[in-house]
Amino acid sequence: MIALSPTMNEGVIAKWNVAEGAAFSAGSVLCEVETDKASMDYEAPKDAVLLKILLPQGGKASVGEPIAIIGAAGEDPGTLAPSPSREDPVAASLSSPEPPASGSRPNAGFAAASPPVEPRAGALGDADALPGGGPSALAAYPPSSPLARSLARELGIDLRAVRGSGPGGRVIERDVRAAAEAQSATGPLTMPPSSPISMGALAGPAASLIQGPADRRIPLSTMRAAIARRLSESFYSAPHFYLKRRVGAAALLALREASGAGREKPVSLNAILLKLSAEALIRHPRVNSSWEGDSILERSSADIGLAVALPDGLVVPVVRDCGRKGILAIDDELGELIAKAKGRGLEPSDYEGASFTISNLGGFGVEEFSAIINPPGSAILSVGSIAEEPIVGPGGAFASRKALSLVLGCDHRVIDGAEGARFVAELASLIEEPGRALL
Amino acid sequence: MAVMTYREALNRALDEEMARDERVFIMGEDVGEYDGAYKVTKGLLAKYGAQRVRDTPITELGFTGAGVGSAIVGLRPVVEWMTNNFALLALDQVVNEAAKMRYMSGGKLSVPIVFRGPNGPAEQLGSQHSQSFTSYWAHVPGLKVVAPSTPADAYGLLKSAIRDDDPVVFLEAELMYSWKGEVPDEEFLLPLGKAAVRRKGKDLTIVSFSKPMKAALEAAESLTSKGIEAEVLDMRSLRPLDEAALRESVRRTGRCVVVDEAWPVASVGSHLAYLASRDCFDALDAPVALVSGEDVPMPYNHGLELAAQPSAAKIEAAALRVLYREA
Repeated sequence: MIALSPTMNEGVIAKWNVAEGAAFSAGSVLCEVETDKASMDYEAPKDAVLLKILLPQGGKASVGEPIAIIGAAGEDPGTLAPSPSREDPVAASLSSPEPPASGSRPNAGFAAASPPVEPRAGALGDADALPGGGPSALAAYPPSSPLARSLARELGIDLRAVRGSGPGGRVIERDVRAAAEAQSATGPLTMPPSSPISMGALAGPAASLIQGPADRRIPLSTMRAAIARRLSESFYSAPHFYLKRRVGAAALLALREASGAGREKPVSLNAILLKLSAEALIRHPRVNSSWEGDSILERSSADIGLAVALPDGLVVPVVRDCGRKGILAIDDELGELIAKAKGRGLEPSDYEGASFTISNLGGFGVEEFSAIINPPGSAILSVGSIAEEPIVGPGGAFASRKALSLVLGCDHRVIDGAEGARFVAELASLIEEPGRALL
Repeated sequence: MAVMTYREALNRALDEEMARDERVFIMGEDVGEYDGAYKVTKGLLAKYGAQRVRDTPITELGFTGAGVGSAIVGLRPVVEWMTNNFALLALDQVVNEAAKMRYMSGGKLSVPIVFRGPNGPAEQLGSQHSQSFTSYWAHVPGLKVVAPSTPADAYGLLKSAIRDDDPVVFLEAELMYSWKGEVPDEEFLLPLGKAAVRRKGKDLTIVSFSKPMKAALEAAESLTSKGIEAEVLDMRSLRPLDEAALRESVRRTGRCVVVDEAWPVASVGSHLAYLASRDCFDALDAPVALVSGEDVPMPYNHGLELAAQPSAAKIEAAALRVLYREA
């Protein structure tokens, strides 16, 4: 049901003018609808066949609810569930069938039916698809005075990690200055005033000889405070579960070798993992989603973050839309972002709004681990080290292969076990046979 | 340097300008035989004669219009309104004639006139005679509006206003006439459109003009006991307005309290607050505060009358508010 007047919330079908199975052309009157004010004509938005009437004469529907299924002649409406989507009332009112498995879309399909095969580009209300995140990212920012904001920019303070002392928690100048002081106080580490060890009677070398090293209290950097807050929030609010799988690494290493040909530096494994993950995410968009409290936002592009260790913390720069980029482009971008991260020069648009995250501790010799989800994404992939391992070959003979461990951490509010497992299987098959990405 | 009253400073400026230029003449109610309702024109009738110091009937529209006409044909009248409350009768001559003549004649005509008199509340004059109409004049392109707060400014700005080739509304205040201040002995002019920093400070900017400047300075003095250094900016001229001075100060301090004794809606004070917000947005640590007259007809009861006006205590409270400090 579409809104036939600006104030219309629901409508009653007064009369269907087109019978089931009949073809109609754009602009013809499909049915007449009683609204709160008058009886109005419901015009067909395009040429199609009326496959099934869902709301018979006399039936009432709210704006956005499906009233009929249209499609191409001969399609079976019985297999086609109407879209439950109500976020786009106009287009979703007439529920259009999904494209057949062959991939050729029937000409009658309306744009806003929900094809699960490809994630919709530019879905309505998809603010989170924008770099930097939408309302959920904004919500993390406390209210702040303009001076506090410009000062924070100047001093490199992340306002989200600053506690506001103004009315309503507004971050004001003095809060930013205090945060900057705390951040710069990384040099000599201060004794807590309440230290139980009295230094009063002892001084100089004798003191350290007798007492040994004292406890150290380390003030939080803004980065440390942000890590603490964000990961606690994620760990305590998102019910995590983990799916583990061993994957052969031979093809991955071969691909790395091949793609690095003619380049100064070899392509990083991470760039390849970002690309293959993006391909898997495109095939399993639920894993590329955000929990929004009252809805789940399936993201249209695979914006993949990579955890990068820094001397006193970590950051997660994001490569946008990895599905549309090649491995070399991703590798170049990753190189720039990591250099920026190490120089502390990342802009919020470089690290905000990851739809999926990869953390790779393989370089440290870690076999496997289970990382905490990095919001607003709903899944994180923990990648372990590549090592030779014995496998049981055909006929029971032992053989060896290079393999690595993948652990996918999922937010159960968004991703169920089976969906997570399908994604892991997809990713494993892409890693073992990267050529499948082209299929 | 002589100490003189605001009234004497105005008188000196009028005297000097009349002596300097015989086209300058004074017109208004009781300006001659009675030496002026507030004695600003004292002695001028005796010195310059009835031709140049003209008592008029109680007809604001009439004598204001006569002044505008005489200015168009080449004289330089100084029209005294006994108060701005009475000047409402003459609004049409000021707004529709004086302010428009240069523009509508394609620059062929000018109106070198000064309208002067007290503005704003004094003491127990009732609702109809206790009003600040600053925004009525400052609203109108084609007019210049000056509101000095010290005898020296009153002297230097009135002389500039008389020599200006455009209509100038010169706002005084009954309670200011007896204020004393140093005025240099040698002749000087002050340009229209330049603000003055009355007190340097780094913690906030208090902006005002005319009579409330006194309360603003008292508040700034009182704030020092709390370790707060307020900068106090006297706009002096409201059209043209020294926006650069306002901008420079507020950007430096990051906090602004505007003080205007007029009602708060669509006032010069609300305009100054808008400019501070617009031009200093990224520098502001708190919303710009406006301390105004209360949005009511002025009570006659003296206690209520004082409560309805800006005071040093109100300004100090606003300053603490923009500094996020407890009172």
